Amino acid sequence: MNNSRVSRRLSLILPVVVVSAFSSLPAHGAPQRVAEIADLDLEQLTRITVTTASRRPQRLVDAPASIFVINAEDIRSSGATSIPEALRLAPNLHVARTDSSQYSVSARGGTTETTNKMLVLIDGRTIYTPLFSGVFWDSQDVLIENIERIEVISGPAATLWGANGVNGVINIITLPAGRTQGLLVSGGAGTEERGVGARYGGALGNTGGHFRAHVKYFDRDRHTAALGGELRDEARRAQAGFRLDWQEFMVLGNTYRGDVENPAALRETSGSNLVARWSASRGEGSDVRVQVYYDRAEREHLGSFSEVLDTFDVEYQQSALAGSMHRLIWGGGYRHSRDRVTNSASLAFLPADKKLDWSNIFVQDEILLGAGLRATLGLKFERNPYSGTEALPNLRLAWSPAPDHLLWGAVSRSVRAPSRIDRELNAPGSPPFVALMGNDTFQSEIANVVEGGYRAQLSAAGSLSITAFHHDFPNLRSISPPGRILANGIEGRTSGVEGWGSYRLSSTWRLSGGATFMTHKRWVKPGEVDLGGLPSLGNDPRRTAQLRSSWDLSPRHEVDVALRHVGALPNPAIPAYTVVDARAAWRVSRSLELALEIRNLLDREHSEFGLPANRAVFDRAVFLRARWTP
Amino acid sequence: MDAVNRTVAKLRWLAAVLALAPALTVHAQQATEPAVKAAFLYKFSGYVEWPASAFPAPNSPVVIGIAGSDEVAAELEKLVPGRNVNGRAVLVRRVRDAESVRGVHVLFVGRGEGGARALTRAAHLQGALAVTEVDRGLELGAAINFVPAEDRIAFEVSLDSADKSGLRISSRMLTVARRVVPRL
Repeated sequence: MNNSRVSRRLSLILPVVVVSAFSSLPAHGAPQRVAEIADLDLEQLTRITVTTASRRPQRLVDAPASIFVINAEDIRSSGATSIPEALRLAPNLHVARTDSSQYSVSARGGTTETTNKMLVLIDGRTIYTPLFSGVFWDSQDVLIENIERIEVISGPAATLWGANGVNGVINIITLPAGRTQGLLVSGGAGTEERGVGARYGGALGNTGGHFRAHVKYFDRDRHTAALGGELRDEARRAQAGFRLDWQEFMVLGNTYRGDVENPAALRETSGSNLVARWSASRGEGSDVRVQVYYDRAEREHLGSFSEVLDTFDVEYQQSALAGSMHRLIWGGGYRHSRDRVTNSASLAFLPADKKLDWSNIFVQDEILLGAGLRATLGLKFERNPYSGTEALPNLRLAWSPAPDHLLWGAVSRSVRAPSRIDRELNAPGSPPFVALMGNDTFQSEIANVVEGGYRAQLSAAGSLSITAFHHDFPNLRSISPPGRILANGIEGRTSGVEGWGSYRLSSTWRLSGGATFMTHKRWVKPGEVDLGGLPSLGNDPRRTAQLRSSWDLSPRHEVDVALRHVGALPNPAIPAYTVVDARAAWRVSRSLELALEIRNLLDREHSEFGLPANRAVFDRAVFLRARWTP
Repeated sequence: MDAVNRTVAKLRWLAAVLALAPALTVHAQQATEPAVKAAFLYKFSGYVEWPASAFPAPNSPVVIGIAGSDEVAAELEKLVPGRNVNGRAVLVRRVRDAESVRGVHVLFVGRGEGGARALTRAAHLQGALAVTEVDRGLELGAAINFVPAEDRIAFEVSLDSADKSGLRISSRMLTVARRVVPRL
């Protein structure tokens, strides 16, 4: 019940991703082996597979997909204060920061100001905007200490997650209330940012349930602009939320308000949401889940547009074992949104007031073929308000030559359904729309994807994952005549490799790292004309890499160092950069931890993303944090 | 000169790869249940705060008592030599009855022990952290109970039982627990 939608699905189809990390501890206790186990922490101990369970033959060990899991401990030792900063921990993501609060986050390329091929969920609630099929990262937040884990899938996962999960899925899962009992206060101040968060949790009488409530506030300073002078991107945001958990039932809600103080285009965001979920396990792989949520998001970009978006979503999912060979998951969902936009002189969504409906049904069968081989067949039909019903099929094969090794391959067809920007955006705000005219023939962007990978647990201390992929995009978005409309006149191909691993050198020192290498080719289809769509399909580095070291100097002292490298972006050109982040933490007492966090330790001034005029320059930032749990 | 440098660089690279090679050897075995539980018992003591009176001296050892499981006791005895918890050495003691709970800081009551309720009550009186591995162990008065989670081992925590022993449990442990029973 505590799992969100995606995590529940993960636990069914992709079990033990998280869990496989330390699953191969040696048996038959030679003393040094037992000692090795004793060097793990509590959480790692809960991940160890024990050999006594008789259900072992049915264990579906590894995930036939490119998945990286960010856990709470990684986030804590990274010093991240926001979701996008925490996402930097995933080697399969390119997290590109434009200014104090705007980010572009993508897997496998396609990074733009309006990155539109990623699906992002927080506790089962999709945080996608139907304006451009992407995420406004300036309004999405959680209390960082409430995060249990973040599952990052690179590559398509559309059958279970639905359209938009073309290049990847990010699933943010917070802790159930029963595991956040008591008081926690965390806050700090630094050269760029000040923030404070608090949560309190307790029991709900004798009902067996628990509650927690949290508040969070931060404000961030302005940055230097890439073109000189100041960017005036100072931002602040306040958020409050609660969560209630019972055995099979969960309710959570959040409300937030924030603004970015830029006189050129003051941006105000606010919103609230409420999620309720009932999930029951009938034993032997049989589960039922129903989730409903309501979300309101408001934003105003002074001078260009404002929006009020109301979304209601309901979904149902059931799973069952069919015989000893099949594990079935099926379900469906319906979402209704009302998107009310106030247009301006510079742009107009027409109609301004739009009702949108999506619905889907899906089924997936995971088949044990024997000899370590299993196949997963999935099919989803999703109906969207623009291009009608799309089919999203998926076939995966996984083979375990040995218990802790997995070879897998997959072919998928995935779809980025049209959004309001593709069909209904006109510029300027009144006719003639010489800059851009809405076009109701724009079709879904399709991705046909082939991928394959190898994942292994190399001894108790090390793990490894490597994936090769090829995405074919037959009809990407172009700007085409007549006039300037959005059409599907571009073809593209993305090929690459992504990999990561971690290794525990000793009981107190752990190294982890990862890298991506990829090439993107995009060209105008024969007979088509493009008037500037090509550059807006992605400004992607050919390589990214990161290396992290977590070292416990003593039970009370720890030092974390992260080195991350991002290759040059072609257009608009941004030079490659390599940044070192460092953190030193001191557990003063059982209830108090102090940490000094330095981002960009070597003070390499760099920009990460955005048009030259909007782009911030990041230099060294120091943050002093205290975390108190009385 | 340049060629020499390059050769040296290559050798260094080779040396680094060779150094890592043993680490890449595959171990496809797993841990036994008693070994994992022993590791848990040792780890738990780092997340629990005893009143100062629980230890005769600032450097007195943490005593882990084991009843009803020779396997866990044997694993723990292999594990503790040379280890410490917050600067205290760790001792393992086999416990036969409520009387011998005196001086114990962590008491594990294995499935083989019939008198679980009497032992957890003794743990409350003696200020020990009672740990069980049975259904409804928390209801028997344990502060921590091991529960099977597919083919792994999870645990649940009762803050109420910990209170009865006068113990404080770190919130870090609670975030890993499968279930937490609050104070009544």
